[in-house]
Amino acid sequence: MDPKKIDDEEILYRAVRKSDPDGFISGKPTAALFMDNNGVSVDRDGGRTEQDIVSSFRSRFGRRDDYKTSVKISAGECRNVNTFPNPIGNRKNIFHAEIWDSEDEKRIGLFKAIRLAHLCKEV
Amino acid sequence: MRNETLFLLNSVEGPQNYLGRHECGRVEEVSSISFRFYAGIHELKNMASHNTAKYYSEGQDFVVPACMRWYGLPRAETHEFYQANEIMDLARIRNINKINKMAHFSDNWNGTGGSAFSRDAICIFKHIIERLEKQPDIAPTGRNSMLMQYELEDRSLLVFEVTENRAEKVFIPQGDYSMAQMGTYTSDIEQQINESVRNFYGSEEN
Repeated sequence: MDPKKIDDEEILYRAVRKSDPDGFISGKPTAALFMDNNGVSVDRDGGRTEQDIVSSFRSRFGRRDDYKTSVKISAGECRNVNTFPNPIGNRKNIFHAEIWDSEDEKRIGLFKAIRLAHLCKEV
Repeated sequence: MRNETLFLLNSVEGPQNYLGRHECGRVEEVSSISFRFYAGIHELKNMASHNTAKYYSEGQDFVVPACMRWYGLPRAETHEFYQANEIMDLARIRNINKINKMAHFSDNWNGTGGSAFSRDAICIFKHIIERLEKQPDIAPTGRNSMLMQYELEDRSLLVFEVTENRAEKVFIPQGDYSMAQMGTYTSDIEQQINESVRNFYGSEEN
């Protein structure tokens, strides 16, 4: 995994918590899952299996067992709807990345959030 | 012991799939079934704690009702959500209950930095939901706004992001993102949303 570049084939995972009760409408992910103030936090697959990724999400939500499900989308799909997968990383999590509206704008607009929700799939 | 009767309906326009007493397979105590979830638990708890309320259901193929009509309710026992012999919009109650829950979210409620909702935002959300002619599906976002969504069977989508002082609109006809139309409302928001929704459902009928 290149820490400075996200390939189109890489899969980005976003966890959905039980405390987020309305992330899905009629069984489909909503745009609300991709609407945060400062870019949308995701985990890069980094060559891991999906099982390992889900396990890392579960352990991250600790004893409260607040993990509900995850959605995934490829970096290429993100770019196809003109969003910007940013390999931002952080000290605690080398797989951390963010999806931004563009290279200069973190906050994803409503239309792009709708498109991301349409393209993503539940794990 | 007084008995009140609820009929579960699937249309706010009228009792189109109303089941008469002689057609319904069973009568259940409200407190014994999951119907309370549909109507808003706190509403029926209030009633069930004082009365024996009975309702009619479709039996095996129960469909989530859109509204509920209450007959025989003593005039003295009305509530903010219902009046005797009036239709109660269950979708509106469900949305108000969701917003009430959103009001208690703390920072990072979604695990990815989602911000808590401001009091003003919650008030705005309730104000709009209470005045909508047709209720949407709603979802909280991580940025102090509420997503409202309407969808037709032909995959047409009408979506709003409502904040304290504006509403962004996206209309996608028949799943064709290349034909998407966008707009922003900064005044008379609920009226503009109602008009957009009328046009949205009006285009389905045309």
